Amino acid sequence: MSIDNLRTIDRDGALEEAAERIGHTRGAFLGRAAVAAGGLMGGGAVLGALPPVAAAQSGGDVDILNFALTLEELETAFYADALAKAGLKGDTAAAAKEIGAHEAAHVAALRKALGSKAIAKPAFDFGGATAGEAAFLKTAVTLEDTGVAAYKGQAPLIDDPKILAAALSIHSVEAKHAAWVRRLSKGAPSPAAFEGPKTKAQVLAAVQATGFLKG
Amino acid sequence: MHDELTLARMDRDGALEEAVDRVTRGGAFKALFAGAAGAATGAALLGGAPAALAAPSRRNDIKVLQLALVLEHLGATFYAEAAAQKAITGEAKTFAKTLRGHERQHVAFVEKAIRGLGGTPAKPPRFDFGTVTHSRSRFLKASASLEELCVEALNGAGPLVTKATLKGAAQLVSVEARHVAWVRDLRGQDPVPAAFDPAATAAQTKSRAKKSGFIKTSF
Repeated sequence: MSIDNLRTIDRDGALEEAAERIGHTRGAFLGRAAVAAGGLMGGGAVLGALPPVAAAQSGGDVDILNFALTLEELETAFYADALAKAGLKGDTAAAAKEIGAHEAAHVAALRKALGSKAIAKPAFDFGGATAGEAAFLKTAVTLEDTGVAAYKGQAPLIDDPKILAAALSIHSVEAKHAAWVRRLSKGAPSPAAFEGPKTKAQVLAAVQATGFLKG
Repeated sequence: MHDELTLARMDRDGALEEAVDRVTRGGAFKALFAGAAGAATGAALLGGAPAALAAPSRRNDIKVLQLALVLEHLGATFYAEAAAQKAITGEAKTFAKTLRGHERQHVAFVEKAIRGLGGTPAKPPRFDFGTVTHSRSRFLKASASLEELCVEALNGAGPLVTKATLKGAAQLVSVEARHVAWVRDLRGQDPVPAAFDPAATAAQTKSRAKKSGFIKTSF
């Protein structure tokens, strides 16, 4: 997208300001294509890479964003651990790298929105789930599917429409991740016509059951 | 009417039409995207101009769902046609059949939602896909575009509808998102190139649907 197009849609300069804030020069902002692990830029659409989460005002929204942050930290750590240990190759390795970068971008955006109200990064231990490709894929499917259901469950509870918009922009990406890893594991990318929500309690119970969360 | 023709010619993405529609309907509908005709994305929502969102209403829910219904009808018809083509085989055929089933169920779901709100589901416009479903590559390319449009349309609608309608829409959007990643993968593309998905306004959605060339009557 050319800078002229960008200016056309960036009427109040928010996008350009955000780009400056995250340290991108105009040239880098437009030309950058590489995936930066732990950074904010995805491998593709430039606009999609900017942090979309507005600062949380209500206590309810803070809790929801911290819940989302916990899950995103879990996923980010999981993909990083798998890349380090699971002996991933080819398409599976490429997926782990890119999805991990997306999850890291989600973490960054959520931390930015929460400011000092963000929870500390939890400690994780993935045990056998990152020991090999098959275990990795099985776990990735579970984590992504659970993430989709979690965002879906929280969305109607969000007070601020801008935060809701941001949550929805992440929710659909998690569903895309889920389809990707399902296809990699030779499963059905989109097994059902409808997908239901999970409550926070249901999601936390599922997370606890994995044993990945330490302390 | 002469004025209507002029407006339609100038109003490429329907944003003006939408704005006029809101004003003439009376009421205090201040559009979130009024200041950025045709431009709102998930990222742009952060910006600053804190335009007040109108309180969601059943009436607006119906309007939103009617547009979603057109897209679901489009998909159901498209995939039914593709599933029947000799050129569409293997996993592309599985894909077409799966989506035919999903979109048909989505049509029923959205129609039921509209009725539940006291509305009458609009009849679908006429669709014509030409020869697009006769080639695997053209079919998959069109599908990728259509499914992504559904995701962005539903993402855009989310903050504008009542919580009850949001819950319903949420059950569909993640399925459409899975469709996007699946078809991109089938095309040999990066299945998920971005960390955040954009949102489309109703005007943008309508414009992009019209630009597909598949919709032959007004909606």
